[in-house]
Amino acid sequence: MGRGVTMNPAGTKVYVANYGSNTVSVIDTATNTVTSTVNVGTNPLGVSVNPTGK
Amino acid sequence: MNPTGTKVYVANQGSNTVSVIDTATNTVTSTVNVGTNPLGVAVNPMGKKVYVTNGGSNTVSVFDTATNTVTSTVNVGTNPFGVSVNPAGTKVYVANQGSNTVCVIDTATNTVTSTVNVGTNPLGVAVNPTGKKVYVTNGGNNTVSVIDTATSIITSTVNVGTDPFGVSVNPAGTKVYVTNYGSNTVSVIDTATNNVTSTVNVGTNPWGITVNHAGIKVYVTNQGSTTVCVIDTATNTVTSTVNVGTNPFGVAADQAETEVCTANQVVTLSL
Repeated sequence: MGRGVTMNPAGTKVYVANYGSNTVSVIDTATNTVTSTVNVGTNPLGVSVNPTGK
Repeated sequence: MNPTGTKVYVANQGSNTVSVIDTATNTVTSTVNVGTNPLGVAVNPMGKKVYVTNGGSNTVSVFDTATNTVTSTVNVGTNPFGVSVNPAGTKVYVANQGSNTVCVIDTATNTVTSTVNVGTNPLGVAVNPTGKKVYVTNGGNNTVSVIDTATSIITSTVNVGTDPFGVSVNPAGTKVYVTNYGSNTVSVIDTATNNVTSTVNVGTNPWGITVNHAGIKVYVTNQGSTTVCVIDTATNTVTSTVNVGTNPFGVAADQAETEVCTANQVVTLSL
């Protein structure tokens, strides 16, 4: 699925690494609310999004 | 229809891994073993390579996004932290906290081709959208070094707040936003003059920062407040505060969906 297909028409997402919770919060920027919390490894710190949408 | 979402890469300092999140399902679909104490992570503009600073190994792991395996390990300075890729994908800039330097990695050879002396305790690093300037936060002397990438010379040093950490450039290249961990503020630098033109009060111990791809919002993690502040860049005021998990550090905005919605310019993330 390429960038030309909008899977999330509501808006951009912002991803936050929660060092003390071992999670990533997903913020919907249209509403500024956390819409999902993803369990990751221990002490997540840096985070980066693939710019090509893949 | 089984759409594959954008991938998000998360450096897990305590696991010596990078988690790969598929945003279509918001689940971790792959875990990549890297060096010791991975801290910073940056994807190249083509989406093909990921660069991870290993603070405990003094290396940068390079992995391929098609296979999620490390294809190269580059020796850099001591305690590498921030990492940023230039828009052409040809150079990677690494802030070495323990060496007071920034290394320049040539991505064709995955070797360090230049090392620039900067201030004390460099942490964050961000390349501007033209690839001609690199901004480095020096946590130890409350400054931002501006490196000219053509000459690898520091052309300006900007005084900011206490313990500057994260740094992000807007898509137009006209503003640089810096979190001041010790001042609970964000400094806004005008890149035409390299002066701080605004200082925005945010939460406690701001750390990560990213400008969205329209350049109209800035997202700041407040480590001490367990929140993310949203700054409106037109007014340089906090317009929203979002509660997140404990000790939020890095923050990144989804680029692809913004491109779909607004066709705005892509900018690389600093941390």
